[in-house]
Amino acid sequence: MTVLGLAWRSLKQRKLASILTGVSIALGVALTIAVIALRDGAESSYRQTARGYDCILGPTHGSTLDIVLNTMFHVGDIGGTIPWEEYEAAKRDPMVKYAVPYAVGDMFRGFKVIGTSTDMFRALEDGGGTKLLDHIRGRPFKDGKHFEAVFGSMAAANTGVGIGTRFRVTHGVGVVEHGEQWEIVGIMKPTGTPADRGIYIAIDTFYEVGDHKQAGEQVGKRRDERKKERDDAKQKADAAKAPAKKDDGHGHAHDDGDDGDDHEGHAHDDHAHEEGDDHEGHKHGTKEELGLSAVGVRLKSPVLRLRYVADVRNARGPVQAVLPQDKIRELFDIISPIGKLLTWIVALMIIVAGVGTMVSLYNTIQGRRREIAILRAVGARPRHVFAIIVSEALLLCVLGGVAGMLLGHGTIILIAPFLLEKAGVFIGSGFGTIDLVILGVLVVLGVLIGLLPAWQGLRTPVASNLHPTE
Amino acid sequence: MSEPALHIRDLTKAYREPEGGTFLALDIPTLDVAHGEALALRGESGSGKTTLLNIIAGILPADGGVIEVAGERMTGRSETARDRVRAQHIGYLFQTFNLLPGLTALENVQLGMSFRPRKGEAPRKAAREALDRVGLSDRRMHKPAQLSVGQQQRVAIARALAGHPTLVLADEPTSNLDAARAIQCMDLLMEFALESQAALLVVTHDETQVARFERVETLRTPEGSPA
Repeated sequence: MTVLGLAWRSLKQRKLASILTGVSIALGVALTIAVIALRDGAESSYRQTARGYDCILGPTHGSTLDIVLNTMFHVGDIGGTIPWEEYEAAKRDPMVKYAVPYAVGDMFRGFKVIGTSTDMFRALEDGGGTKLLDHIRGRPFKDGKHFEAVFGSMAAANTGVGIGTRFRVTHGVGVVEHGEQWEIVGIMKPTGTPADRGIYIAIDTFYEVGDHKQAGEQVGKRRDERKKERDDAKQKADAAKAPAKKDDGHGHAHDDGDDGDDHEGHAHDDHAHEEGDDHEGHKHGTKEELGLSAVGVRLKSPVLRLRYVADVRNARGPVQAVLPQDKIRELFDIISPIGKLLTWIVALMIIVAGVGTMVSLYNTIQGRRREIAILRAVGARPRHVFAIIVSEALLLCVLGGVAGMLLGHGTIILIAPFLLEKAGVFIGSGFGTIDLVILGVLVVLGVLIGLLPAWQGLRTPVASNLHPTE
Repeated sequence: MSEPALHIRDLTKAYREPEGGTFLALDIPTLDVAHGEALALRGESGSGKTTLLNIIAGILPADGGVIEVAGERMTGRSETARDRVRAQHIGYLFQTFNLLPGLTALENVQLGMSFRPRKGEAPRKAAREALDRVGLSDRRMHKPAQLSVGQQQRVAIARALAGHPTLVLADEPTSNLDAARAIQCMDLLMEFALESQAALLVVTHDETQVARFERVETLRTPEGSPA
């Protein structure tokens, strides 16, 4: 019989109390593991995913964080569009390696349908540096007007589709389906990135959707009407100005000049689509009318980032260039201290559970005087008794801790798909350094909380407890 | 084996009285027990029989005199040193058996050897053989609560003797058993001790049991002690 064996038997003897104290430690550890995994996993997932693009082009009036979250994590809404020409311009830019268009708004069974190009599969990588292209089972869709789609692994698993399945999409979260059908030609293996829950179609087919065409035509019609209204107003103003000039001379002309300035100012404040007004002579199709949600830009070298952003800014166009890595860093600069505080609070639960274990052990010593006296009578020295009681505390802490780790990691595994779906972050679960650190803390804690009960055990008088009848 | 298994000379033990002063609980000028010898120790209640066993076992310190077990001194030494001698040389058999309820019969027997500085024979093997010897081969994995009173006492005998101690101390070992079982138990204890060449010191009130011993000593209340 070893000291550890005796400690284990003693814990088994008080099964219920041992289980309850172990559970309290397990819960503390599980919560700590879960919070740390969520905190670190979310940060690492966000940072990793944010590395996919050097820069994102989004509408000037959109929130920069929304642009990043929507484009890279498929979360939220940008709330505006950018002209198609900006995508064309980005593609032509010699600094750009990949310019990836994003057009969103349609859904399939709760998953976002993203109109994009196959460059997305080349530009984005998983955490291990493998391009999304290499994750596709089947093949990527063909760019152009081919109604083909590639599903992310989670989107495919949750919608129950397979390669060859044909499907229709709805506008937004509505139930009315567009008339067009796409065929699934590829399904990505799990990448551990937000790409897992996306459904990707060729951007040209996005604009081929009948409803989108109608929407585009309406946008074009409204634009033409406004242009006509402005032209009419200008003609009237010119007509009114001509006799006035004859009559009054240059005093009125000065006022007219002011009016003209105001008018131009209003035109600039209009929506991005109306910037197309300047491109007279262009053939306007759906893509030109509806524009894009964003453009992901992968530069030929990351060192070009600042130069590229400056170029976009200096062009004073209807787009802003957002650096996703910087935005995510800013985001975590804000939420990191809160995450750390939360970790300390839940870690405190382990200490509280440890104190509870100590109190429980301490209280049992009174009822174990005879057991201790018997041990001493058959030859156990004080150090053996001390070691047995400390080992009991140690076993409770370590076994409770291991159970807590399993529980914590299990919880993470269970909620990971939910987090990926709702927050766009992949939280991986696996035993790592933090588990070793927690185990080390538990060993120290176990020894510390065993000291007081063990000292109480040492003070047990042997002779009087051996012969209870006397 | 020239020295006796147990040697006592001028042993005294006094207790403090609640109202102050002390009274002498034990005063033994000399007592030797040879290897393989069985000695019955009787005495009236309060004569200090259990106190003597506890002092011999090193559980209680003596106030004066000398005790040697297998040539090793028990008196005038630290508690740790006394614990070590007890673990190595003494088997202790209690009136109330004192088996640990959470351990099986085999583990209880093994426990007696687990703390020995020199373990010698593998404790588990020795424990199994001791249980075989007391006729409990088929009860090894039973816990004390699953055993009869007689079986529990046999486990206690196995525990006291499994490690082949030099000296076996037995404190009223048969007082909880009926007459027939008491005889069986004492037979077993005496045979087992003789086989191991252990000295056996049995404290008992039972005159039937006393009569079976070749050597009997009576412990008298020291003069001046409260009766």
